[in-house]
Amino acid sequence: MTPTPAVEFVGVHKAFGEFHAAEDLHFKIAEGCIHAIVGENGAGKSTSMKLLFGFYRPDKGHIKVRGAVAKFQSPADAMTCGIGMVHQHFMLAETHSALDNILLFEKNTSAFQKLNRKEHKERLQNLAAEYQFHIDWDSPIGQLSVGTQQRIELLKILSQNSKIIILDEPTAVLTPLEIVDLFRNLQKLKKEGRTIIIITHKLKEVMNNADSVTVLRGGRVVANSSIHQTSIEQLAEHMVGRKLKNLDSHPRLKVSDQKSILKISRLNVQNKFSALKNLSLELKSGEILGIAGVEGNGQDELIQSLLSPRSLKLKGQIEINSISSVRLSTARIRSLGFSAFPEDRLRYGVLTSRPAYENFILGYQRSREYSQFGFLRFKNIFKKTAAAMESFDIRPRQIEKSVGSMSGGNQQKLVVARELQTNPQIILAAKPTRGVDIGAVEFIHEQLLNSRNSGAAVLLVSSELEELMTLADRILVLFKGQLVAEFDRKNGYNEIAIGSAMGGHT
Amino acid sequence: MKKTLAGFFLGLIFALSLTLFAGENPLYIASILFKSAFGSRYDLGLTLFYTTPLVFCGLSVAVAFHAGLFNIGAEGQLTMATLAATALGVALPSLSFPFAPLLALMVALLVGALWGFIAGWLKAVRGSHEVVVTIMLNFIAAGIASWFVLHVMPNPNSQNPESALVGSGYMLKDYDPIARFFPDTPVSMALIVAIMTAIGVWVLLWKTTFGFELRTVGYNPDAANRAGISEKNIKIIALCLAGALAGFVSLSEVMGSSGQFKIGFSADYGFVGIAVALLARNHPIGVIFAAFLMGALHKGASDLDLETTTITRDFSKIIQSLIILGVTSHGLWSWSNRRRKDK
Repeated sequence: MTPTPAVEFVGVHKAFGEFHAAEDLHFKIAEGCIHAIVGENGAGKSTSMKLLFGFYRPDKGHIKVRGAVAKFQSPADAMTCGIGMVHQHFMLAETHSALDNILLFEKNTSAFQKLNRKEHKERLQNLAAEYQFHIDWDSPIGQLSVGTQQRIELLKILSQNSKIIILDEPTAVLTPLEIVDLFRNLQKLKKEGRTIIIITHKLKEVMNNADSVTVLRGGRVVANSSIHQTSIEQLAEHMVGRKLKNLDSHPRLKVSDQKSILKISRLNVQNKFSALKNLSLELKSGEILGIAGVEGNGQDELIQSLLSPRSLKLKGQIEINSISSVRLSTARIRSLGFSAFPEDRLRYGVLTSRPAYENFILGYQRSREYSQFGFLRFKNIFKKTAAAMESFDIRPRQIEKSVGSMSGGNQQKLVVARELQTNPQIILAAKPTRGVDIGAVEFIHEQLLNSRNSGAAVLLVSSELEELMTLADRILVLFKGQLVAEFDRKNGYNEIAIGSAMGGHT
Repeated sequence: MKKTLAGFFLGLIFALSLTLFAGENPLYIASILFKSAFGSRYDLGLTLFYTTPLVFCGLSVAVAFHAGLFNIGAEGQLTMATLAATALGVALPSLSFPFAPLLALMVALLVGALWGFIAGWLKAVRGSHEVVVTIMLNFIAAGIASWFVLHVMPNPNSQNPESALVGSGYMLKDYDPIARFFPDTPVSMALIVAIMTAIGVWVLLWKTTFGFELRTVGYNPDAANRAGISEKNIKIIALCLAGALAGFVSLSEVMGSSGQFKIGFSADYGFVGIAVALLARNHPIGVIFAAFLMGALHKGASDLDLETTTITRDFSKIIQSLIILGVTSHGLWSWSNRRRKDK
């Protein structure tokens, strides 16, 4: 007889209005292992775990925890039952210290009782030492690094002695070194007999660290397997529902007579949080230049100084085709053949409540094609939008459909289609595949390579090593506002070297 | 649309049933309101007279709202514009029709736009919140207007707080078919101008490139900036436009009816304009109907003082507020529906 699984989903359904987030989920998670839940955005990964954690209640079916049917009314019930969750967006009070954040979770205290901070601190320090967590207990959490914040979240759960730990996209915000650290800790927790569930879409991490995996697609379980019986290719195929192309074999044309298109020299920016120091780089036509770095190391300032330099206090020089751009307006810079995929699509890229066609002309609304005598030329706009949606395979294929109702991948494809419609000379692709499903990632990467091959210069700002290594001809590493290392495709990329440069170790 | 109407009637019924507490029959009150607003050609004329400035003010608020701005300053803008039109008419009384009213309207629009510009400029350049600034500007405008009317160009033939009359060439009366159709009422062809302006605003917002840019700033200013649309410029222009739209009120007030600046002539048009825009959900064509409704309520309630002993005209404010609550609560309905499904 097999041992009782730690968690078992039995025919679980969950719908939000018309949308079926989870349909007939059946899977088991064995006690004392690391189990990965993989799938694209909207596949039902987070929903299934929120069901387990008591955020939602299943419409049909039930969830068994250690053999007993769990009827959680709220996350508090789940926690009592020994389940803890580290959310993708941490649930921390940023102005409080690490100690206070953890003590917030203490259950056996009443409002009028005096909190024995000293005693608790000692206990938590011992616990932290056990896992070799180095934590600054007294500074406000907002000042600590993301990696530390995550360790505090973990400690919160460990101090409750939870036996089942759920982590939602735990590696999304970490440096490569912090990721190694995290998985070392997870292995240790596993050895103690705890069950770890990680939600992720990074298949490499799954293969290297998990014991078993469940693949979800469209709210359904498409595969359940132990890690030894599967491979990255197979998992990817399950996730997307079709075979993926290998972009490494995509042609990289040698573009003749490359000329310098974008030149940044000695750029200095002082912003509220971070800064750029003496940054210089040159971007040539027909190349993809990758800017690697963990978020918050000056990428935002770099993007801003390229697109809207007037909104910043900056020193130094930026030249686009030998025209100095530091005093120009965004509209003027764009008219120099500069296109950009925004780093945060919903914030900078689209009007969610508006139809696809209005989003498609955004930024080009004054072009002759779309505007005449001050009036919009709707016939042209509709025609062009429909054509773009066809050639970029944007679904649903309705120009009237509001962008907010499209999936992340389709939104991003619309943005890409919009920004490429004038065959720009420079493309600033900032996190071009953030929150985008694998199928769309592949498509967007292909588009970038095609643009490069036809002579455009691409500046790719990303924190995803894999993306950078697949696409970039050169990679520059940005750390604390400075370019600290350069890697060239010709010499072959060393993942570990780039990773440590991103963490500031050169 | 269905929900808007449902919300409207819900608010109205609820408000009317409040009269039960005063010992009145809600149906009787409703009949007074209706009769007083639409009962005769004279009543309808007055209702339309109140409707006209409300259309302009509703449009003023709506345009600003589409650019993501809350214009509480229509009252101040219309005050300054009306003052300017009157001052012109008093200073140059000999100008003749149709040049005179056109020029007066131009000046009024310009001054209204200027009053909006102050708030827009402060918002764009200094980051001052437009709500605070426009409220302040309302008080400043009221102060300037009182001083100007009472000390610079008072009416020599009257004890009332009002300005001297503008030259007769400024008045629309003799050429005005609307005024002829509703004799003895102050309604004027400014009403036609109001309806045409509403249509014009609709075209501007939804058909022109500039309108697209203005709405983009309202939906998502960050995305607008990235697309090379200057959020600052659009916001300044939007508040200028809002000010000019409020400035149209001078057409119905001075050139259309009284020919002078009477202190307190505005029955809070600028503020009721906010309610009008809310009710119309900022749709320019909807503003026409919402303004008509508010105009009817205002006129209808004026007879409550005479016909009943317990209900005064201020009751119209209660009806107004409850209707607005009813109409805007449709968001609440869908929210509670969603919650129920979630459970």
